[in-house]
Amino acid sequence: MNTDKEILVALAGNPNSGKTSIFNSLVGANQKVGNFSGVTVEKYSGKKEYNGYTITFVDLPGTYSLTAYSPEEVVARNFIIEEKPDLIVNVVDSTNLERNLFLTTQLMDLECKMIVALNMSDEIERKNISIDTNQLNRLLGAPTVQTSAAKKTGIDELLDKIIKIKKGELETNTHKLFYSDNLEEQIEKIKQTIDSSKHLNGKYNARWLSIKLLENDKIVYNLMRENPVWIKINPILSEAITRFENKFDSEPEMLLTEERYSLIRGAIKETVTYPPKKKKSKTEFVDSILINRITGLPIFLFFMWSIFQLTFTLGDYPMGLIEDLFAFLGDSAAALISNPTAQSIVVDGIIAGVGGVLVFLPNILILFLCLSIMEGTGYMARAAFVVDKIMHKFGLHGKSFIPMITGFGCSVPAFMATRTLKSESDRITTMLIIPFMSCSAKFPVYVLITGAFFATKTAGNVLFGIYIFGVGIALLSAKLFKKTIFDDESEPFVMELPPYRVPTLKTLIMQMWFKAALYLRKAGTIILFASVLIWISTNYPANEEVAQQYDNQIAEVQSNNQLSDEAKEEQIAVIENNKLKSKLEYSAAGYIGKFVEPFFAPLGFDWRLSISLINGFAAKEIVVSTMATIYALGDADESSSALRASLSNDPSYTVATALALMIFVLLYIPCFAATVVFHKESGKWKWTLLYGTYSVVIAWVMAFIVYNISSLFL
Amino acid sequence: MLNRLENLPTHKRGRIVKVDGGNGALSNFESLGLEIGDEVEVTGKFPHNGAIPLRKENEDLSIGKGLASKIIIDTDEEIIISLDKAKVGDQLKVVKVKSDGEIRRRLLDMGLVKDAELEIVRSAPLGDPIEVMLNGFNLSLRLKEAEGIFVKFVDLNQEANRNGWYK
Ligand SMILES: Nc1nc2c(ncn2[C@@H]2O[C@H](COP(=O)(O)OP(=O)(O)OP(=O)(O)O)[C@@H](O)[C@H]2O)c(=O)[nH]1
Repeated sequence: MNTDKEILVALAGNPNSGKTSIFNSLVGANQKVGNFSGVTVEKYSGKKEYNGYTITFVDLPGTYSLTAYSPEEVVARNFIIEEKPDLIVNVVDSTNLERNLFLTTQLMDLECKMIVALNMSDEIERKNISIDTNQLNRLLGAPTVQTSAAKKTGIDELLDKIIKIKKGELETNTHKLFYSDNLEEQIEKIKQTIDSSKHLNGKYNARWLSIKLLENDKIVYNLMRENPVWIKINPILSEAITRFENKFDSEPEMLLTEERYSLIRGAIKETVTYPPKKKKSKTEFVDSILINRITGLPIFLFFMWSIFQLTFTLGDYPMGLIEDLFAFLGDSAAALISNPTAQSIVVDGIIAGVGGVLVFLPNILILFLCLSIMEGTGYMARAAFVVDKIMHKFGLHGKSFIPMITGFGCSVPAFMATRTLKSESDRITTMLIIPFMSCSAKFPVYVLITGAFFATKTAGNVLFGIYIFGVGIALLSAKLFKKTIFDDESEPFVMELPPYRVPTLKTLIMQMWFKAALYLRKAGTIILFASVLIWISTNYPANEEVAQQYDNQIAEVQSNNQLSDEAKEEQIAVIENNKLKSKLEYSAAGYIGKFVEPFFAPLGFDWRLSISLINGFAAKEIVVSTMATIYALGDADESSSALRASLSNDPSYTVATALALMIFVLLYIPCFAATVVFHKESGKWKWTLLYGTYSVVIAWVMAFIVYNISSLFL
Repeated sequence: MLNRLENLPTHKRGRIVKVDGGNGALSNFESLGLEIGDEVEVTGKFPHNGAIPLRKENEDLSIGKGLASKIIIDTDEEIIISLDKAKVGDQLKVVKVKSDGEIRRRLLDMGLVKDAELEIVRSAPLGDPIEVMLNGFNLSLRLKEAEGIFVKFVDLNQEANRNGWYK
């Protein structure tokens, strides 16, 4: 390998600067997604062959700054410090230089090689803004390139300059950012002390460390505190801080930020000429409709409703196809494999299990497409703006709303949609309450139970009540989590409302596809394993004797000449079902059901309901099919009148049991697929444990209360 | 400079120049015995009921917060308020950011530093958060976050209470 021909380039920039679009124009489909080490921040990287060089691009998370407060910013700066890329391309939205260049000043402090890509140049042209790039180049001490990811201009020039810098033909990083004398004096003092220490040599830039210490950066603080040189630095630092306090009534952090901004303002004044301001921009006009006082909320609700409809109605068609495909695969496999055990494990275990996961793919694709469109156009931030007040009442963030709505469809994409939340406490809280938003797989259970125990007239109201109950529990739980575990901390709501833009199709498709691929890869492998496990637990240990008895019965019926063929078939079906039922009873799952019966007894559930609920952990639809098996009714579904009849005729079940059962199904731990995704997304065992325990406990307590209260009145 | 009566600090004086409101506000104003052109002084603050005690010549009276926010006065005092007290259409200049920790850092990163100019664009349909325009971009923040930002007026929107529904 020739390292002279290899270049590592990191893309850094503000959110919405067009970084991802530039990245896609640079590397095309030749990219992969992973995580930055140790955090759930997505890392996109890709390779580009250009003029005999192999350039690896890494898309750093979009940030406004490089402080120690958010995981994205820490990831971005650690990548720069630790991986030492050959070059940084700082993507800047040229329609908003003042704020975008703030990050540039922080990158300058890191003293790494840099090119500034002045993106959105097409918009600049349209707005008649002109930028003196040569002068800006000089002021920033870094080469600039005007690019437009939308019009695909400037991309080759950017690549050319990257290679020129690698070859040493183009100068970059020609000067540092200089602050006022007061600040420089302190920076220099600390820097000299650091330089005198041998422990830190190499990895960190001493001037950057000094600036960060003055900025009160907690990560750099902790790093330095462990170093022997701290004894010398500490007094200098506290002296500096008191001095600024006395002289300017301000802290160094504030002064550094103010000076950065005034340097930027100066640079803009020198290099950018704006035309006289137009009356109203496109964005202002659209906002005056989309988020105004009267229509803002209805329009928001309409969009949410549309996304929900699209995801779960449109997604239903391919879902049906996928189900058919897996049914076909199952049948073909059944025909091919003769050994009954092997056949069952492949058909009922693997194919059914994997099919159960893949079936969500259309929903996930559509949902992520919708979310990418919302994010890419700039509406997502507005949606958060519109509902933040309500969400904040319950300790949540405006952006929590979207994952919660998604949860009505399926928890899996809902958990993944929480990635738009930046603070861990907001994200975990939202994830913890998503299971209470009743997902569509629970619906068949409600239909079955309400159908069996309530008159058609009241059934609808009961159903609606269940959903509302779930939302109530979700919001109150959020409040509880925020008050107890998270200490009321919340992401400050200081959010840009970016100008509306039309996202490029390529970026949309790619974002959608990468998210879906992540789901398939991560959930797919583990779910495959679990499906087999669940299959084993419902089939083993097999009681051969009992099975034999049933087989004998079947043989008896078959050899009975007095019966017509139809009657034979009917009787055999009944025996087959009894066989299934006893198989389940003697299986590991059956034993577990019996074992946990005492746990469920206070809720009015017997061992049959207990097994159904335990099997429901595989998928909520299975609650219904397990009941059908237990009641020996074969392939009954929720609309089966036979199953309804046997439930409502069973003297041990009352309306109170029915209500308690629905409440339990509503609240207890979601399906296995969702749990796996939860764990992947939360990244920590403690959250997954909390999620499991909390949902089961709350389900039990609520079902207990509902069972006992309704037993009194009904 | 023009300002709203509600922003006038205790023991400061101003001259009433107009009432920014409908007929209801106007008759309310007149029934208190106030007139355009009156010199008034704020004599104290009663945060509990939100009423503001005023002195007009030698007469003491008390005026509701709602009405005080609609009375435009002319005063020589330099008035500094926290950003959450400003109204849609007001143009302001940052004097100081007094928040702490992460919130302060976020505000600074977004360019809310001393001397930055901003305008209040709208508040969300439910009244919170608010949207401001600064440095050519739009930023939204909760009223709670706005409490830590202290601003002075560059230009007061004299018709803040008459903004159409579309804001
Ligand atoms: N007109 C124009 N639009 C652009 C350009 N580059 C990107 N956009 C659009 O700007 C929006 C934001 O672009 P992204 O590429 O998602 O921005 P980003 O910086 O990666 O944003 P984050 O993913 O939030 O970090 C999208 O709607 C893009 O289509 C450009 O050069 N010109």
